[in-house]
Amino acid sequence: MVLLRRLLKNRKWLIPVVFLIISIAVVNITSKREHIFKSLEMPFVTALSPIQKALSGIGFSVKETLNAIPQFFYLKQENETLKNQVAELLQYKQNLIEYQKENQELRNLLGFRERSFQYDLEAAEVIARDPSNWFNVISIDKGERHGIKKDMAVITDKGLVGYILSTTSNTSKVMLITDERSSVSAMIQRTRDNGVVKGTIDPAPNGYLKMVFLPHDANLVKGDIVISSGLGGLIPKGIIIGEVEESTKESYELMQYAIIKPSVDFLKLERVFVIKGEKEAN
Amino acid sequence: MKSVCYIIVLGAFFLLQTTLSNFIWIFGIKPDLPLVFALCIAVVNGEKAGAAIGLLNGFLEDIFFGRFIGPNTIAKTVAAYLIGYSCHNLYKGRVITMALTFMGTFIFNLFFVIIAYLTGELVYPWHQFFSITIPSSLLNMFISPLVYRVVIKMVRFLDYYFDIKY
Repeated sequence: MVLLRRLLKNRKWLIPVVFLIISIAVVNITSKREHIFKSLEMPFVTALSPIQKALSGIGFSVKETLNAIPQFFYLKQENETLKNQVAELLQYKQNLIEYQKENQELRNLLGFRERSFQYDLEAAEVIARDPSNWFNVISIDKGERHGIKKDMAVITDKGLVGYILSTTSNTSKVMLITDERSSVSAMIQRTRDNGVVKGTIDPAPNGYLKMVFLPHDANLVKGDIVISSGLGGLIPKGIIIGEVEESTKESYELMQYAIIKPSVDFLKLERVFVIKGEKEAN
Repeated sequence: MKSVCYIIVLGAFFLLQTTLSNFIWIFGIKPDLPLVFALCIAVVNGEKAGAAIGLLNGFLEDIFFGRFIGPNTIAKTVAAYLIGYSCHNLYKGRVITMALTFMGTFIFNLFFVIIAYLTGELVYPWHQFFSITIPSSLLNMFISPLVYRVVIKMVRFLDYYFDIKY
C-alpha cells in the first residue's frame, strides 16, 4: 500500500507508462484495421499532396536544367553515338518482328493462347519519397480514381520499380523493389533458373538486391539479366529487374544467392507507369 | 498561436524533406530535416515541446509512407523527449546542439529499428543498422547548426511578437 501510494505521489513515471500503453494501442489498431488508418490518412494526403506535387515539379525541373548545362558540350558526340544505336536497334527491331511472327505461328501450331506483351499503362509522376533511410516508399500522383489498385506493378522504360502498397483516391504509395520488405518472383533470363528477388538485405550493399532460392547448380555469370517470372501473379512475366553482380553458394551448398544491380536508377525516379492489366493481343 | 507557427514550420520542413531532399543524397543517405527541427526545439524549448513536434513529424511520416501509425511516431517522440530532458543543465549552443543531434538521431534509429522489428516491418534489422545510423547521425549533426539558427531566430521572434509586443 505504501509503495502504491508513493508511486501515485510521484507521477513522473506516469507519462512514459501512459505513452507506452497509448502507443501499443495505436500500433495495434491501425495495423489491424486498415479502414481506420485510411480514414486518418485521407485528409492529410488530400491536403498536402498538391503541394508535394508542385514542389517535386520545381525540384525536378531545376535538376534537369542543372544537368543539361554540362551535357551541352557533349551533344555532338552523344548525337553520333545515338545515331549508331538507332541503326543497331532498327536491325534488332526487324529481327524481333520476324521472331514474333515465327513465335506466333509456332504457338498457334501448338494451340497455345497468344501472349500479349502490351500492357494497359497509367503514367504517373513521383510526388514524394519516404524521408526515412530504412524503407523505400514513394508517392505517385495517381490513385483509385485512375483505376489503380493495391499490388499492381510499377515500371519505367528501364524496368521494374515496385508495386502498389496502398491507394487513396488521387495518390498511391509504391513500395520499391529495394525495400527490405519487397519480394518478387524472378528468373535468370539466360538459364531460366527461378528464384525470389528480395530488397536490400544482408549481404547486398545499399541500393542492390538479393536474389535467393536459386538452385545450387545454376550457372550464373556476372551480367546475366534477371526478369520477373510471373509466378505469384503480382508482377507480369518478362519485366527486367536488373543484372547479376555476383553469385555465392549458401552454406551446405543447397542453394545459392545472387547480388543483383537494379536496372532502374531509383535516385532519379521522376515518372513511372502502373500496369493496370494486359491489353488484348491484336 | 505560437504552437500553430511551430506546426507550420514543421509542415514546411516535412514538405521539403519529402520532395526536395530527394536531390541531397550523400552515399545513399539523406538528412532528416524535420527530426533535426524537433531535436532543436527540444534543446531550446524543452522536452515537452520537442516531443510534441517529434510526435507530429513521426505521425505525418507514418501516415504518408507507412502501413500503420507507430514506428516513426513513437521513435521521434521518444528521441526528442530524451534529448530535451537530458539538456536541462547544459549550456545551449551550436556545438552542444550538434552533439545532441547526433545522439538524438542515434536514439531515433535505435527505437525505430526495435519497433519496426517487433511489428514485423524489418526482418533483418541489424544488418544495416550502423551503416545507416552512423552516416545519418553525422549528416544530421552537420546540418543542425543551420536548423538551430532558424529555430533560435524563430523562437526569439515568436516570444517577442506574442509575449512582449501583444
